[in-house]
Amino acid sequence: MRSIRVQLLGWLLPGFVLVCTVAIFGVYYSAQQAIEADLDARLSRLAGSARLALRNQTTAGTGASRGPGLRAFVAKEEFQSPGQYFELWTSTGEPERRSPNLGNADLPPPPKSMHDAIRYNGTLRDGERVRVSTMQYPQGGGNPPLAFAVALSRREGEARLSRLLTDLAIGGIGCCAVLCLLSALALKVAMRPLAQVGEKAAAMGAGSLHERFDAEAMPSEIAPLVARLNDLMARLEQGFERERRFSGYLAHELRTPLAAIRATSEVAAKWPEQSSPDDFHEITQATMRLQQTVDSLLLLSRVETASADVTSQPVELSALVEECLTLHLDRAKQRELTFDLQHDPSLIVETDPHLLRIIVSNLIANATDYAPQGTAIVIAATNGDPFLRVGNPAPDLTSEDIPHLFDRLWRKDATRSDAAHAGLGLSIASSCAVALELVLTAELGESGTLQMSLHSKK
Amino acid sequence: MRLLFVEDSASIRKPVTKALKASGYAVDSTGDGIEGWQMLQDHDYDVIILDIMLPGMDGREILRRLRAAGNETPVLFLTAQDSVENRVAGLRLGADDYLTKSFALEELLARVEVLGRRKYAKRSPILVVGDLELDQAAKTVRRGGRELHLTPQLFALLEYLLLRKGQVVSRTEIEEHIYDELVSPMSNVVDTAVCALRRAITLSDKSAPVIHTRRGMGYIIPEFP
Repeated sequence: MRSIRVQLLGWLLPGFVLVCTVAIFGVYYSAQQAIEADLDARLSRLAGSARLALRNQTTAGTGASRGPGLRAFVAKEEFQSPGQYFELWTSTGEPERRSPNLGNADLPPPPKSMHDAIRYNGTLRDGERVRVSTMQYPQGGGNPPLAFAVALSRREGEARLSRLLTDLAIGGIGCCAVLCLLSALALKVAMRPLAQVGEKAAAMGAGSLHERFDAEAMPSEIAPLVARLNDLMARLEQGFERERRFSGYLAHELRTPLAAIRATSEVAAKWPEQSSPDDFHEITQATMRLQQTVDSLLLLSRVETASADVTSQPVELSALVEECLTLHLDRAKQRELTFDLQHDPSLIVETDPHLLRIIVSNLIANATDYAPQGTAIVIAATNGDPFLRVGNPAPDLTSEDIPHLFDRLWRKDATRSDAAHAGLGLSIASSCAVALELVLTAELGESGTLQMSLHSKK
Repeated sequence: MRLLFVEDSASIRKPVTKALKASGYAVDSTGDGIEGWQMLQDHDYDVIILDIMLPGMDGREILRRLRAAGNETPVLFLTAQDSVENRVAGLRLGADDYLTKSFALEELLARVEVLGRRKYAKRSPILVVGDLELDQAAKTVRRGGRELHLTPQLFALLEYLLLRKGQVVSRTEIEEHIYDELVSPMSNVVDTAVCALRRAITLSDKSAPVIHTRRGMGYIIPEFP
């Protein structure tokens, strides 16, 4: 499994090492340049002193012999011990004077024929590394110029650089370690909300679907994910709630007639003198109600898995509507309802007539059963979108009821006292619409008219 | 004992009411919650059987109002809602028992009997006074070891007087607990029933009287006849 923490650390740690290394080399290079500059400055001052000593010498003496001025210069304490060197060459290049600390050794010669003052690094015979400054000193009287060199040991500078390098290396490693530790800690802290979300999600079950993740307490990067999770939880909760309601309704629809059958038959068996033909009629009624519920549930189940068996053929919609309408005329007459049929007789739809008949019949049955007595039901089958509309006054319905209309076994009457309906008709119609790749919608108009519309998905 | 049965499904209400009456209970029944609540306010019932989903007023609401009014009459919920949450909610609201549909009539009768005993703080189904013994579960009466055959109404009257043993029971109380609302007893119906009961439980002239009359007050079965 890929870990974000490992990935981030995999990028950050080499990055820290690289940055530290570059910083160390930068600091080291700067220090080296400063030490070189300091060395060259000291070398310049020493060369100036040597030049001054030579000038005093040439002005005091006659040129060929070097007098006490140069001796005094060479006899300085700094030339007695290693660290600072001086050597003077004759015009033929023979060593003429050396500082005592050179002994018989020469300073390293310049790398090329010397015409001007140059500086270079060299190594003495004893292995000591020095910085040498060589220059010519012009002699008057047509004599060729003298060459002399001063040198300063690099030991101190190199020791300082070495110490600096050691310090930088230790500091760099320490810095990298601290940064790594801080990064790991920061990642751990930053990733904690994700871990908390994971723990909470793991602890959630069917009984805790009302709980939500606290999106406001989450970092902005995770908040959108948490918000989506909360949406998912809300949908799951609604789904579970719908199923729970369905189970409760189903228990009522099945158990009530069963209880009636059982109680009536038990009374008849135990107290035969108490029973009458009405009891058997009650048993028949309860059995029929039970059968109606079971048949509707089976139909719903078959319709929900009917997508593969849908056969499409041209269907005259107005003829189908009229056919369904005749099935409900008696009931409509009984309730003094009138039908306002608006249809285009030439309208042909390509669909499964069996499933479409179930939809139309259920919509008309629903309107016939629930429209207030003496009102009008409008049925429109036209060439448009929606291609079928069934509207009826529904004064008892509220906008909160509309999302539940297609729920299985839902009834407006929560007591479910009316034994004539199970609350499956619209669920069956909706499932048939899905099987036909149609969309069945319900709308409650401002005038309290319930409008059921059948749309083509396209 | 007098029961109230509130159930909106007539196909259940009718046979269950028949069974309860056949078992010797005076039963008032209705299919409407509001009417049930009004009946509860008008009469003192020994046991109430309530459906939960009722038109007019929910069974839970009836129970809540009942308990809020300080009425401790045992209540049995009879409902199709069988989930643990529903049972727990019903019992926590103050119901004494919970039975889900469909149910065996015998079980319902047994539970009602237990609730009736609970109302009078009795644990045993056998009520005894002297040599007279009434078994609430078996619905039998024995005196001196001999079984007596009583009509359901006389059985109910004796049961009620035994449950109130040691207390004077007024005629009104007897009317309230022995007769349902469909029977409107005349003032002498109770006296006639008590007289018939006395005859039914007397084995011979030597049998000690069990039911005593307190003039102007009612009847009493003393603790020690």
